[in-house]
Amino acid sequence: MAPATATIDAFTAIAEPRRRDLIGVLAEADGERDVTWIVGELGWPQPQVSKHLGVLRRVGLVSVERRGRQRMYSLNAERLRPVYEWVKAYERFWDDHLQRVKRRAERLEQSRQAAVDRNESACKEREDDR
Amino acid sequence: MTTTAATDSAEIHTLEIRRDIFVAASQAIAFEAVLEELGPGGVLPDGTPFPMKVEPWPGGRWYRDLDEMGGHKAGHLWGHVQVIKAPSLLELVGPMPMSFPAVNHVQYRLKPEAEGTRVSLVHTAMGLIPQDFRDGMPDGWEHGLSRVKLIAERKAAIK
Repeated sequence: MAPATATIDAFTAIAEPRRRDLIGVLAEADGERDVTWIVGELGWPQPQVSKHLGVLRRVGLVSVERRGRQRMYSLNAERLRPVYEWVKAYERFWDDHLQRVKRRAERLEQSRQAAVDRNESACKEREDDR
Repeated sequence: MTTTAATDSAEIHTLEIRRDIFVAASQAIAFEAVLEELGPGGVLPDGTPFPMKVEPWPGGRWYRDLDEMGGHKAGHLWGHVQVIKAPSLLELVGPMPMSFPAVNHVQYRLKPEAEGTRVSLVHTAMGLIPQDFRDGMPDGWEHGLSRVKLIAERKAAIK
């Protein structure tokens, strides 16, 4: 069996915040841009931009075309669609779930604390009656 | 028997979601609330009650019991309890509601914090998303990359 290799897909590619920034810049550009323009927009060192562009190209989120001496990058935004739809459904589920956990726990905490307070108060009254 | 080794009609994808929330309650009560919300108190984001069952022991099932007679003859297994160390750790593994080959791992860590508990959740998943599932996904993006959404929708409209 072939050894497992470290794989990266669109999901893991966009898990990196800087790559999301890069995607945002290319989305804003809405067309082809060369690496110099991207470096200017992001203000990052060129090797860093090239590294992240390489990852995005490997997963098909970015295309590159050679035009003379320039390599022009553009976003394949439609490839992000299944990624976001899949993740979004679960994000919504967990956000709602955790809010419900919070509300339930805090309600329980208050009601149990109130029961403890009532019990202590009753004990004190009994002691005072003696 | 026919075997298809590779196909371009499905893609393996992974997801990772991390969340944490502060709860103004003790660790024990927060843990109890987690089990309740994963179980009989479950509700979908649209408000529909969605009661599940969680057997709170290692190997216990996390499932939807659809047998109205309580005979456990119809339902949907979401996963099993992998680790349970009340009140600090709960891990669940399984397909969750994914009706395609997929594996999920959900971890809750509960840590005492000033006057309450920090509940941290990590959901990681890997699944073979079929083409028809991807094609059938609804519109209505709400993710942070709104600019990407606009571009993608415009491109989709042109095609």
